[in-house]
Amino acid sequence: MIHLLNILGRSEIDEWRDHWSSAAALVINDLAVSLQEKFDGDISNSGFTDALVRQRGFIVTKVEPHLRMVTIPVIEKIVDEANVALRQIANHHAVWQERPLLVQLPDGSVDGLRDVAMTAAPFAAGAATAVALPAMAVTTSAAWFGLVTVTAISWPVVIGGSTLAAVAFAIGSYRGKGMKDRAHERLRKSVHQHVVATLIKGDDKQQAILQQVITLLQETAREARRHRL
Amino acid sequence: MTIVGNFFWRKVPEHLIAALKTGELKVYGSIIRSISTGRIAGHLQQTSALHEIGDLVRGGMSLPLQGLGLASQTATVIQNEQIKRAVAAIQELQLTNLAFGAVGIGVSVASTAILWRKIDAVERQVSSIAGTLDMILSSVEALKQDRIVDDFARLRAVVEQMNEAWILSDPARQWNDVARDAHNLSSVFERRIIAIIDTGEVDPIVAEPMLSALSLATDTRISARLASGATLAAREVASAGAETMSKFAGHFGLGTAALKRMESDAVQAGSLSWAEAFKRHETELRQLLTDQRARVTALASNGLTISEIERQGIHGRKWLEAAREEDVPFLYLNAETSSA
Repeated sequence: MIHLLNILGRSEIDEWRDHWSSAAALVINDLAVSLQEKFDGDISNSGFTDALVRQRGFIVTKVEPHLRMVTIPVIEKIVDEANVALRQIANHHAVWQERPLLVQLPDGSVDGLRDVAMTAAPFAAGAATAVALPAMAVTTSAAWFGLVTVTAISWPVVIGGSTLAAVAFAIGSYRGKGMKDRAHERLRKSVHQHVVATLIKGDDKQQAILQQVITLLQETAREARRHRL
Repeated sequence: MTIVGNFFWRKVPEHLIAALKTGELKVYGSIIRSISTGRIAGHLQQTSALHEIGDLVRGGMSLPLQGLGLASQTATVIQNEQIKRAVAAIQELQLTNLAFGAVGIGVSVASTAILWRKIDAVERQVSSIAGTLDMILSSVEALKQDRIVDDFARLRAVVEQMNEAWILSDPARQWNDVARDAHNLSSVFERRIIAIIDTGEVDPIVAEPMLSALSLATDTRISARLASGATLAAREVASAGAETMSKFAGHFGLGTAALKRMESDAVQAGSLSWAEAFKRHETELRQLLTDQRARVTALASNGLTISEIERQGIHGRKWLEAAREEDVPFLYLNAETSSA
């Protein structure tokens, strides 16, 4: 026998996943744009030594802490709002389920809905982990930090510094009037790459924040569907 | 209020239209349902007349239905009473372009010509994604292009036989054959969708032709079962079809698909251009996914409507005959039971 409520509920959950995936993509991209602009300003104001010699240090001490400080509340906000929306879907369907049904529902269907409401919990756990991670992730290790799970967002540590060392060495052979500008430009590009790799486009070993958020939404939607919604 | 064949009404009752306008009721596929309580207020069945109009629109006639002003303007230009009635009915039901889209309302009573054109459109979809499909085809035998072409030819034959049976003196055997063949075809299309998913494909556009074909085959099977009076079987086909389509529809997520598409765009992430490109992909994907979900809702609601006509003792053939012959856009069936 057909369960229209379940079918509609699944569609709503899919729409929820798509809506928040899209929102996350656009918000995080906007964040990357504004952060790049802010760091461009910082680089312009930085000294020649910073740009030429201490590029890795610049990213570790100036870019990374600010990136985390600004990004984490944004991710929390996205996760919180998505969580609220998912609860609304579950609550709405719970109301419907309490009514007499045209079709026969299997035993335990209401319990299933209660469980669906609890699928929001992994989000909360994920947010908490995300908040905790930045403090743990202050490292310049050559390895990516964190394990990506379906219920947690880990802060990717992009090792821009190690590649920048080579860049700085190459610059060291330059002489002339434009040397500082070129050094600033190379630092600027490295910072942009760092921001993008952290927020939007990671790699197979370490997903960027956006990729993790979308994976998390996808997995949560899958879990909610599994609970008969 | 004209009652057709002692069970259909040619117009949705005014109090329901009023509730649809306030938002208390909403149309989900073929049912009108309370959004606050889940009560089913009534059932809708699209007629052949509306299928014809929808076909004209899909064929290129401009008929925007998003707003009253636009729809009125279009109707004035077209100067066609039937189209104007269809527009009015769709507006009354607070539908947008759903009834003219790929998804119908109620059991399919579309003509062979219309269904063939839909199959043509599906084949064009296959051509448009040939590059992507080729990559998949190279590794999956079940997706070989020549076999796909053969199966679309079989689907054409099945929908033709479905409608041809209406002029036979004893159509029951042919409808049974149609139901069996449509079932076999559905299985083939399902296997192809599974094969696509198993390759790790995340873009719904790749599976869309097979999903459309599966939907057409399932609709034809339901019509055949209902026409031959096998109401229970028709209901089960709708129910199982909705479950299957729901599973497939849920596999494809907008975010993952859009990010994958962005990989082949020469746009720098973290830029305003990236946001614009993402929105373009998002718009296209959202429409596609919305259509896929609408098909699921249509199938699920058809199962409920078929349950209702069974409960009211209406013969499926009478139901379909009325939908084929009436010239109003929709027929309405009052709900004797209340919730879903």
